[in-house]
Amino acid sequence: MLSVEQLSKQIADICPEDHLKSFLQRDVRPDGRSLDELRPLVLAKNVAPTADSSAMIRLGNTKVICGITAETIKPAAATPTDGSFSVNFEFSPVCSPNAKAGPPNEVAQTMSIFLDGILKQVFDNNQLCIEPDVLAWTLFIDVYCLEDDGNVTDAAMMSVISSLRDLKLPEITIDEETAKPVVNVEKSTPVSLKMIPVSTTYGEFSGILLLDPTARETELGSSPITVVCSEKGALLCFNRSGGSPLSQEQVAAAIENSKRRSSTIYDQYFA
Amino acid sequence: MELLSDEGFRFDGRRAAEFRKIQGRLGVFDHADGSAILQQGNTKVLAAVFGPREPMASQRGAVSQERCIVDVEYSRAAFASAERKRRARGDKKAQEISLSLKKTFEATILTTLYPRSAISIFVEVLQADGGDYAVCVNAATLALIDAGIPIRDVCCAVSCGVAIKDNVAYSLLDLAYSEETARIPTIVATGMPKTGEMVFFEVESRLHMDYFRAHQCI
Repeated sequence: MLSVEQLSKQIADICPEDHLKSFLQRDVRPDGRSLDELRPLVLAKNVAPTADSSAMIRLGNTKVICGITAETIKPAAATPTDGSFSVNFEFSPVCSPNAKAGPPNEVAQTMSIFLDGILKQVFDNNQLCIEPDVLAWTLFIDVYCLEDDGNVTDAAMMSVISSLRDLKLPEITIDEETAKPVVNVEKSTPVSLKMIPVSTTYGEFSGILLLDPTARETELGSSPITVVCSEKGALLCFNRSGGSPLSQEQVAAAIENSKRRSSTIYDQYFA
Repeated sequence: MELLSDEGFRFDGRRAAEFRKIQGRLGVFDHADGSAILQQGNTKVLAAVFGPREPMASQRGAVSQERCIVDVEYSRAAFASAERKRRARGDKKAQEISLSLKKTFEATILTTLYPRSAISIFVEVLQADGGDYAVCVNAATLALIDAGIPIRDVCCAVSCGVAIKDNVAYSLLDLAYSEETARIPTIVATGMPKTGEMVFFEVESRLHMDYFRAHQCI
């Protein structure tokens, strides 16, 4: 005789849309959450000691790890007082049974671009300059999704911000006589962010918005909405790539909710 | 750097035949049929197993009526080693390691029990501090056990270096990164403890045969 959980799981596999609909009619989701409830969020710092700073986020079963490595380069001629950063997001092969060798797929590339776009707004490359036109820092931000149970966006964004907040760059001075850089590890300064962006993603299913969608809710719905707000309520990004139409009230409510979430997350993890 | 002090200690205080601290956990991923995370010293590897399941479209050519396909993919985080190395997935080194892991596990898994199916093993190195290949094999074995896939025997691997001190050869087991880069002959061996069979054996440097025989005990 099957238990209730096993039966529910079988129904979810056979007719997933009806299964989800029957829960939503009662204003609850299959995992017991309300429509605007987050899954348990766990932030672990310094998980990869080989990187200069790192963080891992667990959002329900979704697991994303970020590692930042800092290296020195000669600044580009056009921007002699700027360092640079590059974001690389990949789905790790352990993440999905359909992983293939080769360059990152479209979803991964889109995520890299998204994270890069947000960082460009909140991170000033000027602070990475060591000596104008001679030496600057470049940050390699590597993000790997280890398990995808939906809403990798929010987890990835948070892992990047957490790693950036923990990053400390040692002081480097150029020796006048030898023109060689001298590293002083004793004196390290953290990097600064103009504001802390927090991403909030909603899945959309039959016109209903579900906060922090699981993988199943995402694949059944049309297209998720991602809103990125700073802790002070500044809107940094609103992303909805196609999907069924939303009413203006829904959009406004999503943004309002996002603003509140951003300041809550900030108070809890980054203050 | 002195590999073995006069008192018989290595740079991290271990004895010649002493392993680093081993920590592991099974069942770390929900979506995989079996998964494990294994840490030996500072080397940390994740492994996930999917299968037995229907072969993917790309594997159709290799489908066999007698046995299942074993597919292994090896990947390494860019920040895994002290110096950041961003390798495109599927580069030569990764492919070579993937292939040798595949051969190892084709010999270990009882593939004749699952004809026309595929078992996929994915391995991700999060932190590399020496003995990476060996830890990958061990992590993958644990993941296979977690998935409940029938295997001939538990497949264990160890990396071993040969340090010659006063004309006596010592095996340094479970090499750390600084020992691996010290240019000593290294052996990576994968074996099955119960049957005593060797599945994989690699020596990538010159080693005098006299010293080699002394290491049969691996």
